[in-house]
Amino acid sequence: MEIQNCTNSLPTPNSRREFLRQTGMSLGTLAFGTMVADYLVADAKAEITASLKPRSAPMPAKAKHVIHIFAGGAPSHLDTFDYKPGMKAYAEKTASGQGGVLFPTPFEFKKSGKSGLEISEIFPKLQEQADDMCVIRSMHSDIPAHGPATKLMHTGSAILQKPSLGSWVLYGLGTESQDLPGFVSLGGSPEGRQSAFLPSIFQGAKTSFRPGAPANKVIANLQSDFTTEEAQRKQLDLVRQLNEAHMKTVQKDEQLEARIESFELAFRMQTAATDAFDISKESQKTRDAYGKSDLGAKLLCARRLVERGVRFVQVDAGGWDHHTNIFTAAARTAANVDTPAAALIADLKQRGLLDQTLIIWGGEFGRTPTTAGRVNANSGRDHWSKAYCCWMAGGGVKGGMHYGETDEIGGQVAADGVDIHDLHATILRLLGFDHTKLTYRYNGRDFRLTDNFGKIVDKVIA
Amino acid sequence: MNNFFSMKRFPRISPLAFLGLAASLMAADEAAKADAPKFDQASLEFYEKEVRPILSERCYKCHSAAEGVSKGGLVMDTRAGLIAGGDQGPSVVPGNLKKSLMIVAIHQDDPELSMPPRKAGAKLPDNQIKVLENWVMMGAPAPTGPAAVKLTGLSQKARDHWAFKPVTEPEVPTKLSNPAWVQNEIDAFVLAKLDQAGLKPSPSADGEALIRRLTYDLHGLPPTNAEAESFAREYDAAAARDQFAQRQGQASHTAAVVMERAVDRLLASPRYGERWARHWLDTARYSDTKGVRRGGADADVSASAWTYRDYVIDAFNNDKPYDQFIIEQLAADRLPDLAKDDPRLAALGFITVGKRFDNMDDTIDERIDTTSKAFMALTVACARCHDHKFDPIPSADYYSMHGIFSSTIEPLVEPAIRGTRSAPAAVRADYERQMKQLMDENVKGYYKYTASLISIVHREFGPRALVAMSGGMRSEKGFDIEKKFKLTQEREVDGSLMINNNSPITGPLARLRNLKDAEFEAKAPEVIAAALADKRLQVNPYIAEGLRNLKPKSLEDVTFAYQGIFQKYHDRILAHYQLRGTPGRRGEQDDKALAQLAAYPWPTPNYEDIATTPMMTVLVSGRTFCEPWQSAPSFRNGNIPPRYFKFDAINALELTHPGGPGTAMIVADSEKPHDTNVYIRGDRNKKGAVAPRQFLEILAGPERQPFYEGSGRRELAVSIASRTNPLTSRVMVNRVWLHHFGAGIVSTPDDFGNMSEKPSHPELLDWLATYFVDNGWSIKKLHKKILLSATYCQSANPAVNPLVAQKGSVDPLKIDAGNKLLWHSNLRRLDFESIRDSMLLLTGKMDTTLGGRPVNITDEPFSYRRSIYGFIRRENLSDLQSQFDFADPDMTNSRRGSTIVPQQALFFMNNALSVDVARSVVARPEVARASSDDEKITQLYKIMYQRTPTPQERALARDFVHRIGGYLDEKPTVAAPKPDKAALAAKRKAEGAAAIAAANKPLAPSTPMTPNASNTPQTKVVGTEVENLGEKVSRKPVSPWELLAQSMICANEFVYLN
Repeated sequence: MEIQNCTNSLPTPNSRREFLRQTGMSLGTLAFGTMVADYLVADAKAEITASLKPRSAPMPAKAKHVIHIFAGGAPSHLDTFDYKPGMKAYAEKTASGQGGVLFPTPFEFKKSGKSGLEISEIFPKLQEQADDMCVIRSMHSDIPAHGPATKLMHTGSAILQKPSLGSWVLYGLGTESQDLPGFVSLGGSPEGRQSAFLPSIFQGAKTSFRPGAPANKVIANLQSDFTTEEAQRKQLDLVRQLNEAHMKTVQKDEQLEARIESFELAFRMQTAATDAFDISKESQKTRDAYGKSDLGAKLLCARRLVERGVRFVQVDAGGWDHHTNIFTAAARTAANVDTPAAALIADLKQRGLLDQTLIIWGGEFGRTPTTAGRVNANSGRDHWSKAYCCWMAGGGVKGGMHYGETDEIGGQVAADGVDIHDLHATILRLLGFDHTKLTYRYNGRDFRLTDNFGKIVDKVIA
Repeated sequence: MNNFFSMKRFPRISPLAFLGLAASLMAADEAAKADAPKFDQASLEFYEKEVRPILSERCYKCHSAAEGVSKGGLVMDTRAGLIAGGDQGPSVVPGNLKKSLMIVAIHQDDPELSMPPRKAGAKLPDNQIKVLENWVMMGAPAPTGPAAVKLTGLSQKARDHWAFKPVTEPEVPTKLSNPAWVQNEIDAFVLAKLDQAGLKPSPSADGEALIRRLTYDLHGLPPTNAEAESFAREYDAAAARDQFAQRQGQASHTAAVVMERAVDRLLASPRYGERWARHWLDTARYSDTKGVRRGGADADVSASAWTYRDYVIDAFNNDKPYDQFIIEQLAADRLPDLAKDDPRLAALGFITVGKRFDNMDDTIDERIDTTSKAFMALTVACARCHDHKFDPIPSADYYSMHGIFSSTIEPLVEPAIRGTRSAPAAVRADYERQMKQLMDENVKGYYKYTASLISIVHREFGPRALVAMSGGMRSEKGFDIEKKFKLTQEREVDGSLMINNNSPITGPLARLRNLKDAEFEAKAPEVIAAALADKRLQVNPYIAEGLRNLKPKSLEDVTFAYQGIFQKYHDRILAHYQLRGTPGRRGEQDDKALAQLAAYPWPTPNYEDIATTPMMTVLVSGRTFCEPWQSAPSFRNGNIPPRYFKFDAINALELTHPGGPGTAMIVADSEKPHDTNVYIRGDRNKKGAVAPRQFLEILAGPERQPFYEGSGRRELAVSIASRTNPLTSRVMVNRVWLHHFGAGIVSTPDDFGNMSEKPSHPELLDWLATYFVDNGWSIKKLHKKILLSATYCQSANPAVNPLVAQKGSVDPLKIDAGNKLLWHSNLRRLDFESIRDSMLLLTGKMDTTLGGRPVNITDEPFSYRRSIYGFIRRENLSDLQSQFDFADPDMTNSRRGSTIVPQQALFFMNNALSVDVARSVVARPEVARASSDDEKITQLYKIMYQRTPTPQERALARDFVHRIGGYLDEKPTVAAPKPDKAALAAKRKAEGAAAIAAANKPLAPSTPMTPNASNTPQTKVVGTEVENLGEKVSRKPVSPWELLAQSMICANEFVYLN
């Protein structure tokens, strides 16, 4: 796969023509299946178009799609997936390196599924999916502030403007459905979908998806307010004829051809996207399984998108910033994601899509093992980045396991630490990439998602 | 050139530079001393046989004077070099293994300090480590050589890179295959290369294509139909004459005369500045926001960024010499003869419109990055953590620039600048009135807010002081107190209760806190008496009165005594607040002791102190509420009670009201400019050697002198804007070329370093750079030179190239598929601004006001201002802009992508702007009143494509209009509400008349015009978004003719330049 050498060089339409000739691709295939970026390469040793055309990863891999459920606000690891039964005995004791007093989780955990994976009682439905879930308990970072940490989670950099995970994945793999955007964001902050210095075709499409809202308004300009679909079809036929006449006066150029084709794609997208975002087409049973919440609708929509070939779906499922009232607040926030996420795993599995779809759930950091003052019904936890957790399911991840350990109070990683670059490296590996080779040249340097870091967590890969 | 700015270098060294010099002299001295010992022959043999081979094999590749490399500033091939060490310190300390960084590094226990690097092979074997350790313990015997030679950066090869060599003035080639084709020097260089490759240039494009190309290139707009027709007629005739002459072997330049007239006309129009300023704004990463995503809209928006944008437009329109343009952007504040309201101050926005970070080092980094890329296409910022990997830029050079920018401050007050307030007096007065009202509310808000907090302090002083003394709410004791007294957290209060030994208010309390519980009752009266008697403390009389006869049993009793005192005087303190918060009532009228009491824990300034201009500007600027002397409460600490303050409204007024002054986002030199130490690996806690403020070594040479004037910014600017700087002129010439040809001579406009591709025409690049500088750095003259070349005028259709047409043995498409050698023009897609501006022009509603406050350019209700006036939100660029490859405003991005995605097609098909255009065009009188369908079609082609349709195109259009009707009977996707018929007819009539009137307005006037600033606000701020005032496009269904016009907007011809 030549992507690793891809440089963004000058627009040189004819070198692409030459490239296509050499590789035996006809203009037709290119124009039909691809939206061509003009970041083409003049350099003979690295001829590749930055396109959305689907391509296979350089290494064998199961995962082909990603649904990233971003649990913004920083979920407490201690109340969700990192059980510390021993802490009960030390309630309200102080701990070195920690302000406040130790706060054992108020929740019961259950050894779930055949694997016995420990999951908090606030996720009763996910407990049923335990055997497909892989919890990483040893996540850690240095940044306990929401803004930069969120950016770090999405892009691998807390400060610089870097492309998001989804943009890198789209850049690497292209997308299977040309009738839909290859990377769809169902809410969330801009850094979750930004392409930064990658060509803008790799940016996540912003949507305003809400259950019940008209599906043809989810993407801007998706359908016309001014005329009928039939008239528009005739109009595009005319545009095609105008374009063919125009092309005779200039030159036969695949840039022009690609643009002609983009109108056909757009026309199909009007219907295809409207259909994909219309979850009312799902059976009542399926919709019930995902629940009535916004997030349920979004995850159901995510499944419809993935099913139609969309490469990466970014879903925002925040609300985890529980400085107080963990007891009620965490339970409520968990309930919001529990049913939909469990339904998503089960639904994908039942459709045979779980293997090729990687689900990632996690936030930007964790929460303190302690609470300010006393342990009582109002206790909460503050920001804590030295240890936190996330989970993955499907996409070639080993189910029913946890990876890594924290110390007895969940304050520090005790074994097998995984930082954000390691997680990103692992995600890319699950999709078939060596993270050190998926690079993009920008201003004289080859950039990677993982910068100069990242080690693959082999043990979670099935 | 530029004598005005060139400074005589006084043979004077600044005190700081002297210190730096002294330090390095001392280092050299020490090294010399260390060299003093004489070693016996056996030790020296040990070095030569055992030690040097290891160093040579494993270390010299990166750290050797002989090799010309000293990564990390370290050379290891002399003893002196090892002892002097690198950026991190001495590599060898004779006799001390722990202090010898070389020894530490080869053990590789510290990942931060491990050598040799992993990619350079395995760790040294244990026996070799032992050898080196023994050698260090022996006192590091080695031949005493010359003192350490400090090299910086990379090998000679990297330094020899073409871009760092002086600009040459190459001979213009004369031995050419077809001298008659040559219009000017550019063509000679281009043809020489084509000749070498056996290629031929293409003939000129026809007049229609050329005037369109030219007008878009200089204005970002299409020509008017009349302009196109007259140019095409003249040009085609002249070109025919030239061709005829050329066939006779004579040079003839009549077409060039026609071109020159057009170029002069276009360069003289203000539309030119609006076009080319946008290119520069991509380079200068312009945005109207700071990119901080917290703190609300007022903290994020730069309400006056637009003055920088207008400065740039003005600079291009007035053909400001580029060297001046550079100096003003970096150091306008240091210009001689500078007026307080000098419009040139707005140039400093170059520094300040960039992204902000929480950490000042990151903001400085952003400024170093932009400055070096924008002017010199150098990636200096790569040297933040280590020497540049590819270019000869040592980390120390990065920190030289760091020192300059960290000695640069942003004054809280932005000066209003001349010429930004052209609105009539009444509009200005309206602005003043609204602003005064908001500011008054803010000042009043200040007193109300502090008074409300004071009430809490007085009511709950006892327990809160106890919490403060017990380590705060987070401590266990604090928590108990909090619970016992049912306190809730009050950030401003809790953070401000300073219990201080030397305070006339809390001094006695602070001294009592040291007593143990058991002894408290016995000793307290004594401590109180001592405090009250302490002349230095001068305890406040009211406090003294309350404490004098106190017999407290515990600290708690004392804090409650304080609470009693505060409560006793509470009403009088509030009256004092009232007094201070009233205009014209000076605080001196007060009881001084009471005033002192009232100033705890926050000072109570007089109304005038807050209401004075600087203070209010501070309020408006959204940086901090309080001046440093006020210290607290810090309203900007995340929780500004909006009910007291009007920050958002003030910012919105600044951003939208046409009567307000434009202010310049200036910088200034700090009072005490300082050098920065190198941060080892970019870590500010690991300080290396001092990096004097000076220019880059690769450009200034080893003899460079430190800057001594203030921060050194002006000297930096002068060093950049120098004709001897090998990069500055080349980089700008290349950018201008890029925007005319769609490809640069150097393909990466913002990186000329070792990682960039070689220039396609190096001699041409140098010739142009020389021409540019020799012609007073005039960008307009440079345009003219380029645009009048035959190279520029070539056809974009490769099929008309003689060699392609002949289908002979030489196929240019095989030899130079990428058109690097310029044997034809490039087909180019219009960029976002050109597409949108062309659409606005077609609506006939384009607002040609020059400059002013930003508008929303993507959403309904639409603004009809040119796209350069769009509000740009750097952290959340509109999707439309992203989809059309708008330059990412987070950093210098001088070259746009040109992608094709279906979302672009959806915009042309479904966006209301596209329908607006179609309707407007069809309503234009020449279309509406056309006598036949064919005439209508012809007029549409003339308006939209500036040409007449072919018979086939006419037939196609006719057929479409006649047959489409049947498909329009269906209900539109979104049904429009149906008004009654009479009203509808009346409305249509009115709209028709309005459209005709609008259409009768001339399209983009090509003659200079005076700015006619709008007198009413065009925008409002809603939440964090800028919205235009106005009406949305009517949703009524489109007609067949409108569908035809819209199809023409969708077609390739509309968005491609050939």
